[in-house]
Amino acid sequence: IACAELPHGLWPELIQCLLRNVTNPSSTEMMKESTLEAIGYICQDIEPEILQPQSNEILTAIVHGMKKEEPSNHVRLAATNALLNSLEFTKANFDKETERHFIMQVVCEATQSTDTRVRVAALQCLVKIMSLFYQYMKHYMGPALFAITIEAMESDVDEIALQGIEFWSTVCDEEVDLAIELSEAAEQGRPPERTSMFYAKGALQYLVPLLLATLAKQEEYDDDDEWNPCKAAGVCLMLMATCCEDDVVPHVLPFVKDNIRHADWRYRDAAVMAFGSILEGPDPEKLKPIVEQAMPMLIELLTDGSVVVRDTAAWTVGRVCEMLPDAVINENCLNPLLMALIKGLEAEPRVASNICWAFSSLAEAAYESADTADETSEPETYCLSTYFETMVQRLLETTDRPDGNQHNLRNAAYEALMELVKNSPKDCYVIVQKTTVIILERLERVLGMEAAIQSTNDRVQYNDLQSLLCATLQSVVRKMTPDDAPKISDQIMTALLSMFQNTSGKSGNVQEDALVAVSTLCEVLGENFEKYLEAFKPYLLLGLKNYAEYQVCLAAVGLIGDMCRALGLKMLPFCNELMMVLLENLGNESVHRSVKPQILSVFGDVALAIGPHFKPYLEVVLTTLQQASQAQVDKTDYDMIDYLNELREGCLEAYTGIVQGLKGDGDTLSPDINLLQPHVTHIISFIEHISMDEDKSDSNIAACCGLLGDLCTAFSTSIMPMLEKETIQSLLTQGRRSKVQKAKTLATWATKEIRKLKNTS
Amino acid sequence: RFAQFKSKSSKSDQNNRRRELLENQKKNRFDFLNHVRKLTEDDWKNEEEE
Repeated sequence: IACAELPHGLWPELIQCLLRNVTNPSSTEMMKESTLEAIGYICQDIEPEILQPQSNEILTAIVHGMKKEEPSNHVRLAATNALLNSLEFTKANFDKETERHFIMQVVCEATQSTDTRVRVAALQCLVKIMSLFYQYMKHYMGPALFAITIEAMESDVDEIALQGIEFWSTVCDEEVDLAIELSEAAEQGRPPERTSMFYAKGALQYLVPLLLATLAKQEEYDDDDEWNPCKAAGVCLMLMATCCEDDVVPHVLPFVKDNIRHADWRYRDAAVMAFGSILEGPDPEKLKPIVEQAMPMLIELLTDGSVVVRDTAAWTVGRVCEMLPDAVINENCLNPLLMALIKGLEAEPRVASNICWAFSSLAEAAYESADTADETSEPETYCLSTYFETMVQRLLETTDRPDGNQHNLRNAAYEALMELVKNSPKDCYVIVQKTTVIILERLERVLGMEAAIQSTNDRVQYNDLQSLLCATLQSVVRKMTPDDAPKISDQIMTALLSMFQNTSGKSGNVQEDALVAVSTLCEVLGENFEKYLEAFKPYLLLGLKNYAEYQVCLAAVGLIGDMCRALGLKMLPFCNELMMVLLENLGNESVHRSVKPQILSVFGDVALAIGPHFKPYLEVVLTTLQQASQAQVDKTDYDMIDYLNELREGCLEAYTGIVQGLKGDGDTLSPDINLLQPHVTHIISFIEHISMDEDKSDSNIAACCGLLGDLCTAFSTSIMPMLEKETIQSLLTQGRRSKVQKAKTLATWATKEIRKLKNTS
Repeated sequence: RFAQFKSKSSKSDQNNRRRELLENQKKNRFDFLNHVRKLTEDDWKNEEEE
């Protein structure tokens, strides 16, 4: 009731009444406990700013119940839980030194309670206080918090140990953020707002031994869903490494060396886990020789007698392949590693799933390190070429494993396959072609199984499989040469169309992945896609109208853009219908906002594709753009700043497409361009508005510069007076100096176009 | 925290596939426009030489 009434300013006497209940000496234990629980629930569910004005009264009641003089543990527990829920609006109290001291004293005393539940709740308070008020902890760390949390970590009671570990994980999170803040401030030449006290670094020598000891306390039968100190210690050590970087290494390596061959699997596993946990953070150059040295041992552990050790070893190998691929892509290591990984695909699902992840990372790293003629061209060959066929074949077999639904194995195997295909050099093309045929066969087979589905669980798996097959199909199609694509496109399109017709075509994920596959096919086929338009149109429209699953709608909108680029004027017969749906979606409130910038961009694609035939839509589109370009957002919300930039980019891309489309592609300008004349003033002032916005993105700058250049070619000297402004000039300068190539190229081009006009006038 | 335990990054899950598709479409649009603007690499070099 409080949560319903307080936000409307009703029931003003409530908090006073609750305070009296707690502090009145004649209140019963039950009365105090219930009241504190009520306070806790109110604090938990209500917006913090509503309670802020009464934070003093609330805190007084809570602290009264938490004090060590309070004889009832029930009351103390209710009070401590209430404090945990109220911390978010007590900043004003933490700002005052005396009040802060008092709260901290009460919390620290509660951590010493003999009642486990009170201890746990008090430790939870400390964790939250650390994350909310890091800057104020200086006075308490050395004298109190350090000892309290270390003692908690050593506790035999799991719930207590977990909170001790969580405290230090939180310290690491905070200090990693502070390090980022520091480097951002340095980049902008200003001092940071808050500074790190390097508590984690200072405590390393005490914490790491405790964490390592905890790592070796695995349960005999590992339950995936259970959170325990052993797992928490693994995460904490990983965060320590990210936070303390090189300093963590000497504290961990001796433990790894001493235990990696231990007779007890728990210690072997702890050693591998510790090693895997410190791979991110420390300087890769320093880690590389250590990892190179460790690889033979890690490979050996992939076939350890304990499944837990095998799993941790596979995870660690996966991390090596992701973070330090150079340590394994060399003559000594690559062959034995690949042999072990290929064999490892036959292991338990949890192990094999990690192996798939390793393959994904290796594929990407190998492709990146391959020799190429220039940056954009595909390499002739790479270090995985001789293994490629076997890897693909074994991954395909893995996707077919009957236990593939466990530990995300089937997904992981398909994803590894996609990465391999995506990152394949020219000499693996034949295998990619063969894979295309196999994936198509599987897709056709799966589509034929529709009738056999009975349970909901079967349906989920069936849909997932279709999604994955579509995504894999997309990765192989993207690799197709323009000569080969038309040979297989009929078969692909037939399969995709029957997928849309199927019941599974009603599932958002399947629809989305199928649309994306069509996008890729369209891109690869170019004009040859035309013959599928008529048959495909109903499903495109269905996708555009899928508001509930906006990712589907987004994929459909993007696909129209792809079709425009591929088909040009051949899109004309479909434009009326598509433009109508796009305009409707733009004005429809149930269409997710992230779709709208894309719709604007696609207006530009349509305009560019059909040129003068865009005239019937011109007025309505320009009015829409005028509205959209004036949108404003809450600038304190980072997501909304990003969104505004996307929306503006959509407008800029639409204007660009329209200018380019109307002026025609001949050497002489089409008179149609004059239709845009009345809007030029608005367009330029929109660009000026963006220029003055300090939150604009680099791609905003690029799009603005591109549009400026286009306006120059379209309107020649008549727009010169509008361009000779400080805001425009500064935008061009920012573009030319940008680190982003796109912005640089377009700004330089636009500057030249403007200069050309100046010289003629 | 639970998700951080033995966590694996994924490069081809649906989120990344979505992101890549959007990036690819942006890039294609950009390339297409530059082609229309006769700003493709060779044209650009010729202008520099002028």
